[in-house]
Amino acid sequence: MEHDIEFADVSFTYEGAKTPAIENINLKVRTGEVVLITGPSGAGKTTLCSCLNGLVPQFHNGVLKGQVLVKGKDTKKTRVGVLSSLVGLVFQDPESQLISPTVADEIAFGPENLAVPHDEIIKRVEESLEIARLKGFEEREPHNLSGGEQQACAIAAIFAMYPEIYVMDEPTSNLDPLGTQHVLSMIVKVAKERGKTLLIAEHKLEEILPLVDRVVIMDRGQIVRDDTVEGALSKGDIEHVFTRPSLVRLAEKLQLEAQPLIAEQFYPALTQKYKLNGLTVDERPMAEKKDKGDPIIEIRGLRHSYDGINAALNGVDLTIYQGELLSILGRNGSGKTTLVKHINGLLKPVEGSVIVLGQDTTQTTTAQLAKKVGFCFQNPNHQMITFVVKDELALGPKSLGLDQEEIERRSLQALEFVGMAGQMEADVMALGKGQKQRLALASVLTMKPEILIIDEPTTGQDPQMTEDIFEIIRRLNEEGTTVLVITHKFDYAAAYTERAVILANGRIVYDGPMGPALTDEELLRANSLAQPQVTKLAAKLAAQNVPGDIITLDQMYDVLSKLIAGGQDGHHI
Amino acid sequence: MFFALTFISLLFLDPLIIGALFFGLYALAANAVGRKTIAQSSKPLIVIFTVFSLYNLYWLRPEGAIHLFYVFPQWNFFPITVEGLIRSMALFFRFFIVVLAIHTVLYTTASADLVLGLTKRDSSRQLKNILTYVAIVTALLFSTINLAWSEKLQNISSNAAVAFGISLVASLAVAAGSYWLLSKGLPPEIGITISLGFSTVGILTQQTQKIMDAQKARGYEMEYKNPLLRMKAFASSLIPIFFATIDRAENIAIAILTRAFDFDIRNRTYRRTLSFQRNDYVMLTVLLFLLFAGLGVNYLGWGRITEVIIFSLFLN
Repeated sequence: MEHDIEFADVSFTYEGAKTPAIENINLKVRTGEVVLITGPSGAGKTTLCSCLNGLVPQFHNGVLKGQVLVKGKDTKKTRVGVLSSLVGLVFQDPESQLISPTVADEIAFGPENLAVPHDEIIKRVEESLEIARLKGFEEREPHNLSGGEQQACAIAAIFAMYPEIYVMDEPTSNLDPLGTQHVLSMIVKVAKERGKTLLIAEHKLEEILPLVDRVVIMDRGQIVRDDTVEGALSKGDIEHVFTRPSLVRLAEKLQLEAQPLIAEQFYPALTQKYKLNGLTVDERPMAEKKDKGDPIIEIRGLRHSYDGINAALNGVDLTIYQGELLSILGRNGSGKTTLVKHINGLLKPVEGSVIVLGQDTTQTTTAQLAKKVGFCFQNPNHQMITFVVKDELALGPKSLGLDQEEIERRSLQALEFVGMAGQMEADVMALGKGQKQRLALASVLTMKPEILIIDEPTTGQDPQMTEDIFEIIRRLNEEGTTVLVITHKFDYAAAYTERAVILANGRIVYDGPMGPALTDEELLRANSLAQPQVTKLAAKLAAQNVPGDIITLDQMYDVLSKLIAGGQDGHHI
Repeated sequence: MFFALTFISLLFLDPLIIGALFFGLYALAANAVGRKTIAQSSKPLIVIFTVFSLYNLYWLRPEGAIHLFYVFPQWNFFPITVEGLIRSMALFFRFFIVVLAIHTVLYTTASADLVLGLTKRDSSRQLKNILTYVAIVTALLFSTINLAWSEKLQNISSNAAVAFGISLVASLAVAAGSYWLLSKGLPPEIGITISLGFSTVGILTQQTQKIMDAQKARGYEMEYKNPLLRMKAFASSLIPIFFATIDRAENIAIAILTRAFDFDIRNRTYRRTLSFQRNDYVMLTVLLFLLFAGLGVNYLGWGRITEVIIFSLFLN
């Protein structure tokens, strides 16, 4: 049997690192196989991918032990350029991979390097634009595209090179739910049509598992499970490393035979095994009602335009009350970030007004507003200005003019709050992605803001980190902070926030409780949001009087237990 | 085009002719780029050029110029002459022609095309293109040599035909030399680097803006009126900007390597092709015409037509 990729006892330690990034990797991938690589951030997925085109060890310095063969070529001895003609590698952050002045140039760059004849390049660019749905974007500047379009462009650029092996390192981390589905199915389709090997590193199991042949799970540099999809799922969860999709776990709890990934598979398996009773009215879970506080942010008739022609915000009215926890949702480029930048004065209204805590934002500066309004940016690297965690935390309170003792007290408290106690003296640059994000959050918390705005806190974070961040957000809100969170992780937003504001083309298209938004499939699809599978299952159980806005596994389990307990053939669980 | 225009503008030192040229070019540029963009980018230059022209006003005093008055009459300092005024005006326009020409080129040409023009490609260039290159360069050199060394040429031989022959041969030699240089082009590595530079500027500006925003959002006052405080505030952003830029550089290196940049650089191909089109030939003809017209005008002594008119009107 022919193998495209062979790792023989491979370990790699980055220069200056104490522990190896990957350790004793043995992996063989057959031609045409579609392999998922999953595992927490820092498990070594990116290092493994970078081994394939020789970036490790030829670009990233360090010690490589063992042998990596790609199409029979030793990656230590073959130039990156030659390996790259065989291995098409797409990284997580599309922005950093786009280097050309136009989209068409970007796609042509690879084939040009491979000395593909001119007419063939034109043909390949056309074809890749078609596949990636980027027709009409040929002359646009890549760095002015939306996140989804950028990712499509980076992938199209690799498609045009016609590699033998496709390697995608978390290609959907910047994408909204429908964008994710589109990109993943596009990648798998192209690889299968061309009969090529595909390695894909991804956290979004619900979306990717139906598309792959094989699952490789990594943790702390090692492969801890390597199996077929069914095999990998039936071996169960690995704590903090591999959490199976919620419906699979639910099926296990209910002792169903199947391993359903989606509601369409779950429902028949459920009805086959159990006879379902209807829920009585008082068994329906009740949503808790919280009293509204005083309005603290009032936005009226807000319009904004970056270029004076296209409106980024087009008449937004929004009132936010003290103590709320709300999520701001919408496609890439719908105006979410533009909206929240008005709340801390980074942008001033072109038309309309923004009143924050009784103060008109045009009458003050961002630095003044920052004392009351905390703002956490998408990329934590952009807000770190010092080298040591302690200094980073002290910056905010210093600008408030607090004394040393108070600064220290607050720093300690904030660090503890985000679960990083004891890291006071740590080196900022050496922190991992998840820790940097939490430090960014902590350094805003030291200012004890009344309002906290968090812009995409979970980009590129694994499920565990995402949950940690949302837990922090929930606790903050419980302590009285009003929190606005922008996110693409709709399932988390739905589980954690009470109110949803959905933006489309600079207007609010939905503003209200999360429940009704969650069950309005049309609204969700129009805004590139997808219902979590648990909610989809709830919709299928509507005949049993099950409410449609169930999100979490626990809620669904409760409901199903009641349905089954009342069933006539008496299966009790 | 930019070189040719610069060159032509050097031939004239008369505000009427240069002004006409300037407005012609302006119309062209405004059409291609848009009035707003041009106005925006040339505003600061007006001040600089005005100062420069004033400076010229002081120095441009040909012998026998007609004296009008002194700016500082008490010291008999800074005389203003008619010629000085006229020529400073011409110079002012001349500067602007150069700037406008550069702007037009930069705004209308995709940076990738510009770089491509400078980069070495397969040597299978069409003969037609070679001829155009040689024609342009010869024409330019021929005119310079005649202008610059006309007196020396006359010293060598008073025979006009011989002088003409010498300058023609010299021009052709230099033309061939410059064609050889042009056709060699930059190595692709440098071409790509320049192209990367062009497309990175926008990205780095965006990045810097993001970082400054992040600082403001953490309570750092960045909106000082005082330039010193503003500088100080900006300095606090330098660390993240520095690291983000280093990061960006590494990412670019990874990105181009991943796209097989070092596969076979010498033989890489290009999607964009540059070829002379109808409009290019039209432009070339217009420019050559202007060039020879300029030479002719000077030769016939009409090069200072404004001066001549003014003198004949007022000083008779």
